[in-house]
Order: sequence, then C-alpha cells, then structure tokens
Amino acid sequence: MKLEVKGIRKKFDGTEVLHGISFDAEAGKALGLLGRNGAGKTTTIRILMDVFKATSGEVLIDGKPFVAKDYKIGYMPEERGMYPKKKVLQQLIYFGELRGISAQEAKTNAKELMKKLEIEEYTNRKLETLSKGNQQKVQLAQTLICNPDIVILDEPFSGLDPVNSQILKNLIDEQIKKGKLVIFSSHQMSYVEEFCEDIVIVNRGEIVLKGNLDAIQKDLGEKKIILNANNYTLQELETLCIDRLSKEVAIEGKKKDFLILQLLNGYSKKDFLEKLNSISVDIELFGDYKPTLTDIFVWKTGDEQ
Amino acid sequence: MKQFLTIFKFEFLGLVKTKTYIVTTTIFVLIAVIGLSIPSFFGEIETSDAKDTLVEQLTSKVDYIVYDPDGVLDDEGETLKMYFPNAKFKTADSLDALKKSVSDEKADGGFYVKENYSFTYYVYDSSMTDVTNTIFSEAISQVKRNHAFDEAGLDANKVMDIYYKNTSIGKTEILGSDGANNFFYTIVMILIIYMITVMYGNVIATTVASEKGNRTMELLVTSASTNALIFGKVLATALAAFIQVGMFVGSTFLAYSLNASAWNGMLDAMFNIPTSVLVAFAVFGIFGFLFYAFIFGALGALVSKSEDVNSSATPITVVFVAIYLVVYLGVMDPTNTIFKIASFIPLSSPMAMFARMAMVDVPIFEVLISFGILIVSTVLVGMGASKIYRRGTLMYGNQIKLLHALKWLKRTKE
Repeated sequence: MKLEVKGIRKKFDGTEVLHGISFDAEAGKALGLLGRNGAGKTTTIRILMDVFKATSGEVLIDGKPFVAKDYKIGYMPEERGMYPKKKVLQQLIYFGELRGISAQEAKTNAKELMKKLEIEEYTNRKLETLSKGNQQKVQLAQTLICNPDIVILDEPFSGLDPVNSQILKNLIDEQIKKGKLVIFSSHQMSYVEEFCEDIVIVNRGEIVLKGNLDAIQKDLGEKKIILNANNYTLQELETLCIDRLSKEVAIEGKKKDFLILQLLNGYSKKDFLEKLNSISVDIELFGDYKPTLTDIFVWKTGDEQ
Repeated sequence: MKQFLTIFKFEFLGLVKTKTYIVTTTIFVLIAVIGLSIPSFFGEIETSDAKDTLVEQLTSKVDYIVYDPDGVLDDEGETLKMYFPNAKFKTADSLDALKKSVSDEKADGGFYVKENYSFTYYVYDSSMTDVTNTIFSEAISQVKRNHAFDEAGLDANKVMDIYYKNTSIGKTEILGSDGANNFFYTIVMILIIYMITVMYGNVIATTVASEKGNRTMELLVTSASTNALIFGKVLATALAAFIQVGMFVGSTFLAYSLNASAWNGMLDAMFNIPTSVLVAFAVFGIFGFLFYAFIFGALGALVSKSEDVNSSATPITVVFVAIYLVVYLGVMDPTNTIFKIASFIPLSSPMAMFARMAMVDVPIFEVLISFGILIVSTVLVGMGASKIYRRGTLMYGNQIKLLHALKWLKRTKE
C-alpha cells in the first residue's frame, strides 16, 4: 500500500496555509511528519482524514484517489478527546463499531489492547477518573481498535512519562512490523528517529525537506567533521579555525563537547588531520559528523528565530 | 445505515439511562397516576354541573353591609333574598361606616346604593371568581323593574311569575368542532409540544457543544459521516422524548380510565380527544420536534463550550415562544387568519395545525398540504443542519453567528 500526497494546497478564508505539499508513505514503514507549531501538519493530516477538503491537489492510494472512509484508519488527533463521562470499554466499543467492526470484535480488540497498554483494570471506569497518561493510552486503544491498515498519530507521546512512552512505543512498533502504513507527527525527535524510516519536514505550509532519514543524515553529514582538542578550549579552537584554517574548513556549529566543521576546497579528512598535526593541535575528538534529527529540524525550520 | 444505527443506539441508551431521564419520567408518571387517583382515595367527586357550582358559589353564607341613604331597597328584602339566599344584609349609617366595616373584615362586602339605582360594590380583597357585583346588579335591576311595575299599576309578582314560567330551552348541535369543550386539552397538548421541543432541543444543542468542548468531535467526524451523526443524535433524542411524553400521556389516560367512576365524568371532556386530533398531534408533533431539533443541533455546533449554548439558542427560542403565543391566541379565536396562516408555516404548523383541527373543522386537503410542507422543510433543515454541523464542529474560539453559518449552506467546497 502506497499513499501519495500530490501538491496539496489549502486556503482558509482566502489565506493559503498549505502551498503544495507532496510526499509518499508506504506500508510497513513509518513516515515522520515534522514541523513547528502552525507549520501545517495537522491541516495536512485533517485533509488525509477528509475533515477538510484540499483547495487543490490530490491524495492517491496505490494510484487511485484516496477516500478515507473506504479504509480502516486508526486516527489519534492532536486534540485528544473522548467522552469523559462514559465508561472506557463502552466508548471503545462505540468507536470500533463506528469504524465498521462488530460490537463483539470491538470488545475483544479493546480488551486485548487495554491489556497490552496495562489499563485493563479501568474497563468500567469513566474516562474522566483516569490519569492523563492513562487517558492517553485509552486514546491509543481507540486508534487501534479496528485493526487499521493506516495509522495516523498526531503527537502520540505528549504527556506521557518514560515508562508509558515505552509501552506506547512497543505498540506502535508492532503496527509497523505488521506492515501497517504509519504516519507519525511529533515534536519529540528521538521517537521519530526511532520509528521513522522516512521524514517530511513542513515549514510555513511548505515542505522544506523530505526523504529517507538515514540518507538525509548521511547527505547533510557529508564533508562534515567533528573536532575537539586537548590543548585548546572550544572557544580557542573556534578562533584557530577562523584565523588559521579558514581555507580548509568553515564552522557549521558548536556543541557542548565539539565543533562541527565543513571541509572546504576539496580537502579530505586525511588532509585536514595532517594540517592539524602540522600546527600542533593535540586531537581529543575527530570523526565524521552524523547530524541528529533535532539538528536537521532546527536547521530547516529555525532560521527565522 | 450501520453507522446511523450505531450512533442512534449509543445516543438513545446514553440518554435514557441517565438518572435525570429516569427520575423525570418517573415523576411525570407518578404525578399523572397519583393526581388522577386522588378521588379514589379521598372519596368520589360529587356530580355537579356548572350551574350548580355557580349557585353554590353565590349562595354561600356571607355578610354584606348596605348604605342606602335614599331607601331604594326599602321593602325589597324578598328580592335580595331571591338573589342572595344565604346572605345577611346589615345597614350602614354612612359610607365611611360601610368602608370601615369592609376594611375591618366585619362584612364580606358592602354596597353603596344611589337614588338612580346605580351602586358601588366595596370589597377588601377581590378574587378572580368574585361575581357578587354581577349578581347584585341583577338584583338591583329587579328592584328597579319592581318599582316600574308599581308605577304602571301592575302586580310585580304576577308579571315575574309570567316571565319565569314562559321560557324555552334550546340546545346546540355541533356539526364541526366543539371549541369550548376542546379548549383545555388543546392548550395542554400545545404546552406538551412546546416544553418537549425546548427541553430536548437544548439537550441536543448541549450534547453537540459538549462534544466540541471535550474534543470528541474530531474523532466522531473522522469515524462517521456527519449525516449519520446528526440524524442519529436527533432521532435518538426524539425517541427518548416521545417515550417520555408517551409514558406521561399513556399513564394519564390509564389512570383516568381506572378512576373514571370516582371522577364522575368530570374530566371526560379533557380525555375525549377525537382520533383525528390525536393523530395530527402525534405526526405534527414528531416532525415539528425533528424540525426544531435539527436547528438546535446546528446551533450547538456554532459554540465551543456547552455553557454558550443558551446564547446561541436564544434567537430560535424567542421565535418559538412568539409562535407559542400566536397559537395560544389562535386557540382563543380559531377563525383568525393569522392562526390559519400559522398552521401552514413549518415553524408554527406543528402546534397550530392540530390546534386548529381541535377548535374548528379543517378540510383534509389543508392538513395534507401543511403536513407535506412540514416534511419537506424538516428534510431540508436536516440537510442544512448537517452542513452547518460539519463546518461548525471543528471551528473553535468565538461563537459563530447563525447568519454567518447560513452562508455555509451556499458553499459546497471546504
């Protein structure tokens, strides 16, 4: 199963908020949909879910127009919400039935999911009596209640402690391994790095980066090295690079323990290492730089700040 | 269809299982049963007709005081006794003495009679049913006639004897509707439709607004079609409302039929509702309820919190109250043109048409035309409400104005 989003544009009251979004997502993989607040992630997801109609563009699935109601979709919206005064199992069955499965199947699935999420003792409790974390787990249970083919999760980890996050991670991982098409939106980059093979970064309604995460990291890390020295502080090392090594490298960034340098003018790592030795730099740390997703995200979306 | 049934079942059970619903339904039934069983517990109601009741009211033992400076009532004790058989009449020396006696409640009322047979009736607290003035007016008129007979040399007793012995009684044969008899149950039925529509309309609006407020709405609109959602919600609420009304009306009829002998037929007029009126009440009531319920559902989608429902629903509630008054006044004067027009307009026909049928004879084609207009309007309002609901459900923030929402009906793509 392959989902293709092609040139989606969306206007609200004459103002365009999505400027031609295009990306693909495949079954058995998780796609990370990233962006700052207000970038257009939720609007994109709502168009996929047919909450909004796109002003132009199209969404295809296996080459045919995608109609959300024709597929089993598990959707966890950013705005969490279920009936606070209804019992947990009762409303899970209700949402299961709404998504096309029988009450009996919904009941079985709900109990199984609640067990996996370690909330089975809350079956007959009203949702509002549960902690925020457990309510979040109930939300995930409703997302997966119909054994969906497509799973769309908007910020699934917000508000969860590390233990509960791990439980959720296991369940999402299970969905990916089962061959489900998973689209995943989060600000917690470590989770995205963990789950998603592919990423799409949206900024101000436009895609600023998309593709395979490893390839992106490799590409953005190409000709970049990290450096620290025993006989210089980071500040001194930075000054050294600017004053004496400006033909060989440019400073790309500075972390707590090292500088990130871009090799210039066809210099190789070996050439630069020799240069450092020639000016008596006592190397503590030297190697290829693989940018984290957070770095990539900040580079691509944080320029206005 | 499956989604609609799922929503219908969920909403219906969610409503009828609430403590509020169970308690109010039980209270309605208990009021009907206990209220209509009282004569069986405390002794049957004595048979009496309206005339007897009036006489009873007028002949109860009372004390009156009269200030008659010109002696108009001299030698007319018998005449007064004829009109006030159980009353005692004392005389006052002055108007002030009369007023004081009444103010001190030593007399139940006082009459200041003038030379020209006019009089003023003094009473401390006047009740709505006090007809003393009317009766005394009759008595004083008789006194005047007696004096006129005397002046003409006629024997007043003989004249009155001839007058009372030569009367004729006619009877009314009603070929259409008995408006006087039907008035009371018509008002009650109008009130039932009014109350149930406002009460459950607000329930629907509040439910929709709550689903927006607690953010359940996004899950709902991505899990089911908005048509299934609003139709399921409205029809489920309608069924719950009709069951409640049905139990109240049914228990009322049952309790009265079981206690009819104790009531001695006193409320027969109230319960002898023609089948055609009952059927019209049911079908116009059902579709009228749905008509308004869809509007309330759409209004609920225009606010972000259930607390704001009242302000959103105010315009339609005001319209509905105005219609209620128009229909109420129409029942008083059933041939009124406004009442007739109201029985065709879908906003008012749910209350006006069956009320017209109860009060006057309405041709069947008029009933069918009105019903057809109501059905078509209800379907159109349902479709419009579904569109507004679809757009309004995910719009948060300030309350959306109804006029703005109505513009959405013109747009197709959003």
